[in-house]
Amino acid sequence: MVLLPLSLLLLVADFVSSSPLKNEYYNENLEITPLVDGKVHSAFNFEFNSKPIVPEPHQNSAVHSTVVPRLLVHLIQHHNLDSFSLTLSSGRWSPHWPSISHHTSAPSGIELQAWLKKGASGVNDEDLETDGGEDWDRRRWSRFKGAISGAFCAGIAQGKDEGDDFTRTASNLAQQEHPFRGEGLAEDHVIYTTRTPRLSATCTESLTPFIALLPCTSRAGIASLLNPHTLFDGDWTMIRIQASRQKDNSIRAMFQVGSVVDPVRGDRLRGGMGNRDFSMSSLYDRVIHMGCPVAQHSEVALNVPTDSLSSFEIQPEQGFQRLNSPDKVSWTTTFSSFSAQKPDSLNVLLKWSESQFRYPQPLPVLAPISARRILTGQGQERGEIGVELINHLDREVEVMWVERWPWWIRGFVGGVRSSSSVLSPENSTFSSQLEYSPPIARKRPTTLALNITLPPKTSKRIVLPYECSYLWYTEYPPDAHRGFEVPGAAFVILDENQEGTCPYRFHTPSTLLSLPTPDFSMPYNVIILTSTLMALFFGSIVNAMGRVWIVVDVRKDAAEKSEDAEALKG
Amino acid sequence: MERRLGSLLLVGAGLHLSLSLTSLPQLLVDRNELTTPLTSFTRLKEGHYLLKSLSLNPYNSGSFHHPPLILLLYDLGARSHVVWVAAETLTAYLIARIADGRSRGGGRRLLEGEEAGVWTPLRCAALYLLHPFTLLTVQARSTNTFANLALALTFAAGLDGSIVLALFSLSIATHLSMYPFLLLPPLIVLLYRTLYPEAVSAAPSLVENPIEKVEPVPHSPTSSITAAPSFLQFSIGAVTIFASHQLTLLGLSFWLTGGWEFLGSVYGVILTIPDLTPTIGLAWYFFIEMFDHFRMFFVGVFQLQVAIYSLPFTIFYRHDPLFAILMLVGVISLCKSYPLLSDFGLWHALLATYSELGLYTSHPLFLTCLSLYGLTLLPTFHYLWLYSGSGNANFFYASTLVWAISQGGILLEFMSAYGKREVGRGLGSEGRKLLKEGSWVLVQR
Repeated sequence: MVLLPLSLLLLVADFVSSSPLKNEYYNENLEITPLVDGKVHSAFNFEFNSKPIVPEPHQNSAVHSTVVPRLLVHLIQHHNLDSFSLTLSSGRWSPHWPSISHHTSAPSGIELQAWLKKGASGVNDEDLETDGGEDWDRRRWSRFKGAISGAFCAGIAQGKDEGDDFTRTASNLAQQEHPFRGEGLAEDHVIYTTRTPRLSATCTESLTPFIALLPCTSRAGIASLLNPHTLFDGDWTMIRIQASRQKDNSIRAMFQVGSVVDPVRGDRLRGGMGNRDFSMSSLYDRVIHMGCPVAQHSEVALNVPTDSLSSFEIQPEQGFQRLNSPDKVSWTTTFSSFSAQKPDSLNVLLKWSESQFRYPQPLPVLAPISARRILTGQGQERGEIGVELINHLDREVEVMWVERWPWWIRGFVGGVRSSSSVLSPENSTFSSQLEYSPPIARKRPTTLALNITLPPKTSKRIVLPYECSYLWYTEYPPDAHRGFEVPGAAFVILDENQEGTCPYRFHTPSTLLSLPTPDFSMPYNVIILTSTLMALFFGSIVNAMGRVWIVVDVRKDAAEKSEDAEALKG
Repeated sequence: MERRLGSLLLVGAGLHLSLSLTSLPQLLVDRNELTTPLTSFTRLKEGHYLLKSLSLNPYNSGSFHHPPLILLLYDLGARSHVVWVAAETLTAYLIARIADGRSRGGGRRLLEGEEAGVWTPLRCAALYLLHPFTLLTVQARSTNTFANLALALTFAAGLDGSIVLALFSLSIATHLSMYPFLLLPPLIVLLYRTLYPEAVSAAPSLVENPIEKVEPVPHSPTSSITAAPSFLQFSIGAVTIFASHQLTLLGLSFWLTGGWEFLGSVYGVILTIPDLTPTIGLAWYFFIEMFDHFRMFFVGVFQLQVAIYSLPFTIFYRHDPLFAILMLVGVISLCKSYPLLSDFGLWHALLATYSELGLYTSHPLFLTCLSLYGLTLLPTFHYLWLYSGSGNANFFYASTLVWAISQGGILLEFMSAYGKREVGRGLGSEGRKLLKEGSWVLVQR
């Protein structure tokens, strides 16, 4: 695959800011991309647009929607949100795969974001005594978090751990990382984000309610290909639900599923030599039997690997159109075209002429910038945590590095070590550009944001020492020896000529950190032992002070005793 | 004596400074036996960086627990080992003065045969300056050194009878580590006895104790013309001086840090023990293994354990308040929420000023060996737990238990040695001879 220029990467899916459509529609599409290393990326997109149906929070009018799931309307109305976005992702998007900003940049784990209008009230908020303000926003947010967590079985609402949520309104970080794109002024809105760095966040539990919300569920159309057994067997998986309220009170939503599977591995498991041929039945174990009658556009697209050296053939040979790009062919699967087509199922197939796949060396790097997480150190007490950034482009790029560590990692910013001299703590540009919010135990996570300028074709490494905090007994999860997940770093590419589009974001995957754990079987023993020691100490001191000293004569002769008894009195 | 002391101090300082040029500071700076979250040099550096380069309030940042005076000192340039070595040398000199102050004016009241057991001031200062705890603490640049300096200054000034200096330095010690305010009662008694010895002997004793005999101290620094104030008046005045200095320090901290957050960040942490980094004390594991429901109660119990001995020791040892101070320093070192080896170093050196009690201890070898055993186990099990992963936290907890037993045992030893000695004093020289022979035995009932 050719190296895509940066501008192409920023094109896609900033649907919030495009003009709202008055019609109601549902579009679905699937894009299959064979990758250089033999893997296959499938990107499912389901787009909804509704009529103006969202009433005001306190209005009791009925909501009638045909296409947009009722749940989304309910969530937006009841909690009075402007927009929300839930992303579940696991795995790592390799730098050798082409990256499409909105689809492939997903923070590892679960991320839930919502824009709320400041001070507005949700449905059941009339009983609050306080008059608007941050309390109301927080309440709406935590209720919404609970609701969506239950709807998608995602386990987002942690409950006790207040260190997860944080808001950003008017800082430099907010403006560049999450620019506000809805109606009205950015100052009137507040964004709440929570991130759970769970290592295997995508799960059948979340996919099932996801499919249930689609109009044709898994019976017809592209959604019938969503098979959790094959989808989540991949190197990278993603489930994303986004919804926003437009100016005319209509809802626009986008559901996405992404997965990268390895047909070579699948072939070897079936006893073959390792062939990278794939088809829908080999990828998803299913084919499309029937198009979804509700969908206006429904198509399967295949990104043809026209720059590949080996020859290949694509099936089915008829019925596809070439889209704008010469590299893409697509088959439509709408209901009408299906029944007219004659074949009773659609099974897209790509067959290579080689008998065994040879892994190309070296693999071309398609990402403009790649990053990896660095965690070094000896022992569980302390170590060093940081990132390494590699700039593959021919020009200088400015990147914003954003870290959000949980409160139990205490980073020492004064001890930053870097491969470049600009990023040392004594340098004044470093400290002036650093936006740092130190962690407060059990209340606030660490937030770190730094602008880094990367010269062309170089790599930079920045680490800082950290110390682990010791948690209280009840704060440990059930399996504490597994380790604790540390969220990956987030990077935003700051490019001046990309105004008005979504900034390109990429992430490193979550890592596991071993915290020092006490022995959990010991509460009783420790309390007993320590209390015994304290009591013995106290008792001995009272002993030494309270008791009277007596002289005892141990000799056997009575006469000497009486003489010395006189001496005692003297 | 002065010249030999001076050369000892020079040699000691030279040793400290030369050790600081090796890689020892790097190895020791974060060791949990030498530094705690309240005294760590790394956190001090980080807090200062936050303050100066990032304009953040370090007391609002959640992991900075040093008192504002230490931050000020660091800001003024106290970063290298020279400052710590100077503080320790000064403390050693003050310990020599304390030992000397005990001998001066007959305060020691030695019995026959005890002169051999008395350690010269030079020896006491050497014990402190060359104590491995002190050596290692200086290399680690733990800020407890300054609290020790303030304490030593308090005791030396108390023995000299300088009220203002003693109370001011106690107030500084309280600002730096909070527990020294428990030393205020015995310090007041010490000052009163030093300044007005005639008033003391005339006053009726609180408890009828036929064995204790008070001998009037001949040397009196104050003129006999002025009438001595009553103890109550004196103590009210002393408390006022202490309180006013403390309030000044608090106000200065408020002005320096621009708010009252330092109270919660420094003293709140000492009182409520939220940070459970392992130390050589017992509190960390106790509170790690505790359910949240009981935390408040047991935090109260722990603080009570430290505080409750202040008045009883003062009253029981009112005729020898320096001993009460000594025992209280021991109790504080043992039971405080974030103990350090440097507290014990100071305590051992102060025990040396009462070295004549060593003749009356019953099992010194056992306790010495137990202390050495605990000291060997502590770093070993810490390494096993956190670095090589082949032990768990219980091992390290057990070694803290051993350490607590050994130091508590030493404290109890000294208390009973004192009691035995005082009984022996009351028996007369004939009785003491019989005791020594073994015909008479002292028993507590």
